[in-house]
Amino acid sequence: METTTSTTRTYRHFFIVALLCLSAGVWIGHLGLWSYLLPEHLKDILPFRMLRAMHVTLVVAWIFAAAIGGVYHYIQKETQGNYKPILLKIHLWGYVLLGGIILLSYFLNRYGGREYWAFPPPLAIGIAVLWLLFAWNTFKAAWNYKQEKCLLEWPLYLWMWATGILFFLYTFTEVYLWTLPFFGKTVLRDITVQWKAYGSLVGSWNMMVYGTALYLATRPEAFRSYACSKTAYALYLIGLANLIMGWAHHIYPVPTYQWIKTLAYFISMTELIVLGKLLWDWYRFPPRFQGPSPYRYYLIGGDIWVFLNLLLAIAISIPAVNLYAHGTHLVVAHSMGTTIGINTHILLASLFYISEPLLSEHQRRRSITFFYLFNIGLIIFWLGLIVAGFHESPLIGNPTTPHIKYLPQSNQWMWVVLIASIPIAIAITGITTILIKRLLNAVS
Amino acid sequence: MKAKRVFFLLFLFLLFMFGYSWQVYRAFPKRERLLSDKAYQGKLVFQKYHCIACHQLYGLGGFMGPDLTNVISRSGEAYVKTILQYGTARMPRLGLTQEEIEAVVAFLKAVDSSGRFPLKKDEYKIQWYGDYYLHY
Ligand code: HEC
Ligand code: HEM
Repeated sequence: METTTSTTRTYRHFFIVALLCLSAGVWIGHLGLWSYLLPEHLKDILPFRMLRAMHVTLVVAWIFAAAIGGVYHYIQKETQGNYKPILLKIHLWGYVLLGGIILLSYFLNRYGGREYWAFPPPLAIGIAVLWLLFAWNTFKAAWNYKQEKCLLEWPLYLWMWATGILFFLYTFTEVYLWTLPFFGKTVLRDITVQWKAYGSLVGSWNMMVYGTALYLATRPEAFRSYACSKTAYALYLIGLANLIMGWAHHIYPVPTYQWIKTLAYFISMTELIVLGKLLWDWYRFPPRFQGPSPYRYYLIGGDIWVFLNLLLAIAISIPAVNLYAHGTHLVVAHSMGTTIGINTHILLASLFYISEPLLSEHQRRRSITFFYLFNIGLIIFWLGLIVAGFHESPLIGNPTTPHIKYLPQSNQWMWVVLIASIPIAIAITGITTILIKRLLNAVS
Repeated sequence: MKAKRVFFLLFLFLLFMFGYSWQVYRAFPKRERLLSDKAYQGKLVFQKYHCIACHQLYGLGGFMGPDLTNVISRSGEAYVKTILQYGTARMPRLGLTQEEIEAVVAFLKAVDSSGRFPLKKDEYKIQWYGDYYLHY
């Protein structure tokens, strides 16, 4: 019993760390946007290079910490497997310490890495070691678990978490292949492998997040068997194929072998099946926002954003359309649309699912109000980025346009994005405050 | 029995995945450029100053500043060196040493000769099924 309380406390701490990263991340993103739009005045006061690195690191740290805490919690709940409390604590405090060092390195303008992983490369060893610890803890707890009548004996969400954990190790290693001369001393091979790694790495965290969504969606008794069904496994295979081979839709303009890109095009189009399945499910069980249960709101919100982002992602994965969208804010709409719209909704749903029994009626209603504020902001933010992309694209495509004409500073639509980011940041701060208060109470 | 089947499937899967990855790793398309030592140093300088936060190569990166794939053939070495030395009203002066500036320029030259971005109309050919092939 004592171990259980102690581990419960640790994964609640993971959630608190995650929420702090999210709140800090959105406000830093907001500040960064000011400098992005008014560099003449702010480039030295709000250095964009540093703010962007911090923003991306913090929001990715949110996604990972919330997913990790959830996976720890749900595996323990389902399989009754136990963790060694000390190993969980080492994971948590290692995560905080390493994150702190990474942020400090940005603050001191020490880079040396690449986009998204901009910190000095030796720090990556720490990340890999902590991930091995995570893999050890979870696999040890779930190894002997069996569920009757389940394809391959584990419900699909366990397979998805396992896939995400193992693929992260592989793709994170791939991210650092540039340190070997065979990759690092080339131009095209290096860019290709870099985006192979990035695309698949995002795929690996998506496996963890979608696994969490599947877990939540199959909690009601009536839906439990879905996590063991052939349909669910078939969708998983589509996700896996996209994880492994879909990444090349990021590099259509790079003059590498054509087959890599054409294969990615066809693989990306299998997402149409996912889109069809989503629409079919909506036809059979129309989503309804009801009851004072915030977790259901965030879960359905995530579903709606899956739909919107699939439309955009499928469109820009068609090479002929990508020709138009690549290198514009349409791509930023895709990346922030998915990380905020899909990942953040699902992970907030997970946190609400866990803390809902602790929330008062008043807090639940406030959480739902924040849900609406968050989504109103987000839809304007997302559409703003899309329209900004449409505005830039013909200017970038015309070689005689001076760059100042198409940079974000001259794009009035980016101001819509900036204004829309305010309700998002306020809503996230509000949600964070409610959840952290409850989690802290529960921890003490 | 079941365990055997799982391991067999897993084996096939890993075989496929590593085979595919290896084919990608070893790709050496006709425009590939091996970097000279100086250009390689330049690439590390590009990373040290985190240029990619604001710039793109082949359209990939941050969007605060312009794409740098063909900046050398577009504007010339001297222009790039001046910008790196002094910054502009919008780009901060990052404090690169002369040696670092030379190295980055060597790197950008290698990138410049590896391909084109953004693509001009006669540099690609759209296929009927929505794909496009590069044509330069
Ligand atoms: C904080 C963002 C930021 C960082 C970091 C940054 N730049 Fe820039 N850069 C800009 C902006 C904005 C412009 C457009 C400047 C203008 O028009 O006044 C620019 C312009 C340039 C240009 C001229 C481009 C053209 O097409 O005319 C070059 C070359 C350049 N930067 C190279 C670099 C290199 C190399 C680095 C890294 C050592 C770097 N920049 C880091 C923001 C940045
Ligand atoms: C108030 C809200 C936010 C603002 C104002 C904001 C602003 C920004 C800005 C200015 C960039 C840089 C874009 C560029 O380089 O051109 C960026 C990138 C990014 N942001 Fe945000 N952001 C916000 C919230 C979030 C959240 C909540 C997440 C994820 C949970 C997120 C994920 C990302 C990612 C992944 C990138 C990299 C995008 C890419 O390279 O295409 N952002 N954001």
